[in-house]
Amino acid sequence: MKPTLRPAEDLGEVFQAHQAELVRLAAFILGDRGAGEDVVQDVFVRMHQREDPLDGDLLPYLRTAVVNSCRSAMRRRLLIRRHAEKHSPCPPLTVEEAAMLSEDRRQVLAALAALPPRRREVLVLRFYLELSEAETAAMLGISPGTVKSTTARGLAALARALKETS
Amino acid sequence: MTSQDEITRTADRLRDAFGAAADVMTADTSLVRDSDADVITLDISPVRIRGPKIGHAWKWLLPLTAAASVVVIVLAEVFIGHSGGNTLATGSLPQIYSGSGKLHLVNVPAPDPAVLTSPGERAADSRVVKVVGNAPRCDAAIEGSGFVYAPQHVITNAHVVAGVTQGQTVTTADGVTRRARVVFYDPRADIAVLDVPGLNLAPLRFSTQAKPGGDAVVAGYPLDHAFTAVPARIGQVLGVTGLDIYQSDQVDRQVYQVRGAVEPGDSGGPLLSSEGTVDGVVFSAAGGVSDTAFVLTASEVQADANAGANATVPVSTQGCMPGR
Repeated sequence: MKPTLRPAEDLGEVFQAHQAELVRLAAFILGDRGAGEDVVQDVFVRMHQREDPLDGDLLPYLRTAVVNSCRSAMRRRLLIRRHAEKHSPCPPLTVEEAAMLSEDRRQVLAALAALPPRRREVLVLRFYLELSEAETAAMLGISPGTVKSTTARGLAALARALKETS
Repeated sequence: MTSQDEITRTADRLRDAFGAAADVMTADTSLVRDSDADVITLDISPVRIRGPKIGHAWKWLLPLTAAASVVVIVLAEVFIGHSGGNTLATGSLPQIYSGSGKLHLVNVPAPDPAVLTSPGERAADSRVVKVVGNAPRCDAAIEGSGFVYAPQHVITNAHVVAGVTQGQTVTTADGVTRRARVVFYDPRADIAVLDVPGLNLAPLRFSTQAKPGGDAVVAGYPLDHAFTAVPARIGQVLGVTGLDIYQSDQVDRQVYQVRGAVEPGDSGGPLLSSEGTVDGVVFSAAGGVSDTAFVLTASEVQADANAGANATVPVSTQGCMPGR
């Protein structure tokens, strides 16, 4: 039996359960912590507005909704990112959070944030959510082959960027 | 050339960094809970800002972020390539919240398109105008909507004329453009009144009889299109707290939450009833919540409307909105 979500009723619970992961997901994809929080908030507001109950496993649905919202937020992000970069040495994190990470890890996340959006999306889904190539392909609506090649290019670009900074 | 070893090592470092970052990233509990919102971002985009040309406009857009360094300012989407390559942006977005606790948006049933065929509403359409002006200091042209509500006087949003110093015009549905002057400007309520000599259209009347659930029409000039009317439905009356259009002072407003497809350019246009009366002035879409808009109620704008109805002396449109 698949879980069913009735709007408003279970939303608070679902939110509590998945909020942290979804915010991280959006922050990593957008390379911007604040923008990530906005995206997740918007997703929950939209869910609340739904008239029809949602059927099925909720986590994949929520993740997909967040990934899609991140894409529409990308255009805003062009403007927001510069602002965020000035403040945090590592865009997906707040200044306080970044201070708790080692320099090496900060460099990795900063290099990730500097990649083109599509590569970043794929790397986040593959190595943060640990989705398979097939799952990543399904979520992004692209072919598994594209996931594979984008992952390889993304990692290579990341390796090059890290070589330059270290 | 990057070796396979290096690729594998990079993947491991990435996993490790994600894991460590996830551990230190604290969940922000100020996000929506219990299905109510603390804050709703207003998508002010019902106004379009048009840079003079694309290259120039980009130069103008990017430095915006420098100005946004203190407060978190959410920027609206940037539309590119519309209407002959102009860049259209929609500035920084104010937010609204409930003065007491959560802002609860209600589910509103879909609008009934039949409202568009009601004779009263159809008759009102010709009194809805497009408002355009240039704000050279902001390097932008601003467009919105408005409507005739007193002889030769058009009401619109203050944010549709903010900072405009040149070429303020009003265009009617038949395509005739007239010079206009702002004679009343209230950035707190977000209302402005234009004196338009020669505009001899019968004024629309305000009505305070609108009820939740009622049919309505959003009428205006969205996205540089010709006159457009779309069906809408009133959800509820809300008392909301937000900031004035310069984001400097706190303002309480009474608004309708409305379901309907409000788009950039609709700002300042009327929310029409099926009888053709004006239930309120459309002033914002709800950011991130599809098909949801906020409309200043007729009672909310009544005092400003009265104050501007006979005014003929031009007043300052002050500065551009923040981030413009």
